[in-house]
Amino acid sequence: MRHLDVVGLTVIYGAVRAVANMSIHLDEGETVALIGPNGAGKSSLLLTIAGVVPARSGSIKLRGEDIGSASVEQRVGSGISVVPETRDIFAKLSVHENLLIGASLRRDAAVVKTDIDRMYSLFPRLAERRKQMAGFLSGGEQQMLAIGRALMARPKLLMLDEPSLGLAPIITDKVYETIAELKKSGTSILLVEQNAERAFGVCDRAYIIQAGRVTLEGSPEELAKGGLVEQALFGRAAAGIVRTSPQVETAQ
Amino acid sequence: MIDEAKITPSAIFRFLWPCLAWVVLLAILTFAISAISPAMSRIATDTLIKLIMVTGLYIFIGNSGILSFGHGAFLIVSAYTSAWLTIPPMMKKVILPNLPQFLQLVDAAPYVGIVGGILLAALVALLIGIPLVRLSGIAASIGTFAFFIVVSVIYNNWTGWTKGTASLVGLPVYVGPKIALCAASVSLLVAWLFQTSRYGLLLRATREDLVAARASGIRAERLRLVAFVLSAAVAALGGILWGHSNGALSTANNVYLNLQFTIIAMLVVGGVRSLSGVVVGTLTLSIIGEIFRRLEIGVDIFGLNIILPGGSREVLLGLCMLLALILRPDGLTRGLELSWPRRSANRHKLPQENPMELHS
Repeated sequence: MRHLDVVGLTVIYGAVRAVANMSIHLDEGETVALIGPNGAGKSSLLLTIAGVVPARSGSIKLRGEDIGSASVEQRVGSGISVVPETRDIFAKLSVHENLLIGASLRRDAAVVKTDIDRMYSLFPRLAERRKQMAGFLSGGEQQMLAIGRALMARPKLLMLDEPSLGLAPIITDKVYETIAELKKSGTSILLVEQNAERAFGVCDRAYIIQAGRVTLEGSPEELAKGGLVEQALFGRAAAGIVRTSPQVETAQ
Repeated sequence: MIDEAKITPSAIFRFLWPCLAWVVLLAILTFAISAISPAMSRIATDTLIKLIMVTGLYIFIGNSGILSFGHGAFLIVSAYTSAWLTIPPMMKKVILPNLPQFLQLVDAAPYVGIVGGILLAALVALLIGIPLVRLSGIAASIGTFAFFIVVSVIYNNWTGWTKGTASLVGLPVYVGPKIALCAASVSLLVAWLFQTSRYGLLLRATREDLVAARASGIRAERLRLVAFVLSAAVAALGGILWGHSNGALSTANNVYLNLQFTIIAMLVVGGVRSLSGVVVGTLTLSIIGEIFRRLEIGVDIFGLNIILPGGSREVLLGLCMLLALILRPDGLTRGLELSWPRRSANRHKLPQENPMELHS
């Protein structure tokens, strides 16, 4: 069953067309990677699906239901959680409080408590630092906290924006182990990565994104053949930003 | 938040400790100072009433991170409401002949005045809050200040009901140090329960990062509104008691603007991010203010007669706020609350000069 269906999505910041008529989909329980260079529009796509950034045109359907006009809060309520690239943790609140905030829409206090304990067993480092201010955590710990917070909402669709960015390889391993476990538990995952090799290790399918468009789609095996990814990432990456004129906009 | 699984008297006591410790300290100070002289007793009452106002202000500012310059309006609204309800009908006929019939005849008990004043202030906060909470940052602060000016001008010119710039007298004076202490304790408790509640936590999340909070599914506007109304209600209690401690009300000479500025300065100096900041800031500025009041009257030190020019107090208040903002933007308490006193063997490892610990 289709979990997420994005059709013809366009996102424009001022004169910059970050996402141009992009269509992607995600089946229930599937892990899909979005791979592309900086400025290709991957993060914009994620934030638009989450409802943080408005779409100019196109439709976003969650299990067949159009959520294009739903607020961020409503989308969280319908099971979408995003871990943004900026790792939006609440720096001046404690680790424990950060996790509680993730469960803000839930009413099942007792289950929330067992979920928090589950996060602590998943990330023992967080358990050690539960009373500390989140801002004092290391980069890797902050990433774990951001993922932990997103999971506290019990998302059906988890979107991760470059979870390995700026992390030591050993921490990245840990983060990817967690992603693999989540995948096993049946969560649908939309993963944005620049590190194609990492993403291929965990995803079922991947889209190569360049200059706001999907240029390739396929299984990791298909894409890994023939150096298509390398070409996409390093070849003409400089054309990452498409300038739009008013004429082009009205033509859309 | 208190753990629901283990509600024992000792767990509740530990949970309330950061608030109770201040209440106990305030009680001791109040009784000790009131015993000195009637004048000192008045100073204690006045300080406690300001503490209630600061606590009210803190409930909104501390948790939402939005600076409000509008809480003076709730002080005005609530104080006059209580006055209309509690001034004896005989006096109302003489002082406020233009008051409508039903208010003319009301002869309410003090607690009716308190409830009425709080309810009206909360209602006004709800109505004005609905548009205000949609604003953030400086826009919200300017909005609250504009609201204060509007209310202030209305009460200043609404002669038939408020006597305009003249003083409204005849309020029953029933507030002494004990009543002020009880009210202050209740206010601190309300603020503590709110900040440790789920609502308090989620609201602080919007204070730290509004976008991330929204992305976690938090309805920022609704939480701000809840805090705004609660905050206005607590501040209103202070406004009402102030009137019934002085026995007279007036909106002339920017009384409420000055009062509002004083309580904001108290909160900023103490630290806007913790309940301890409320108490520390109020006590600190009250003590400094009192010393300067004496100096303005004139004191003899070693045969030297020192008299400061009138108004030095206000200048000093501004200076304190400025110094706090420059040297300690987080206030004297730096957003920390009192921690549970530890009696463990490794006590010497704890920093002795700062017995506070991160709580929120």
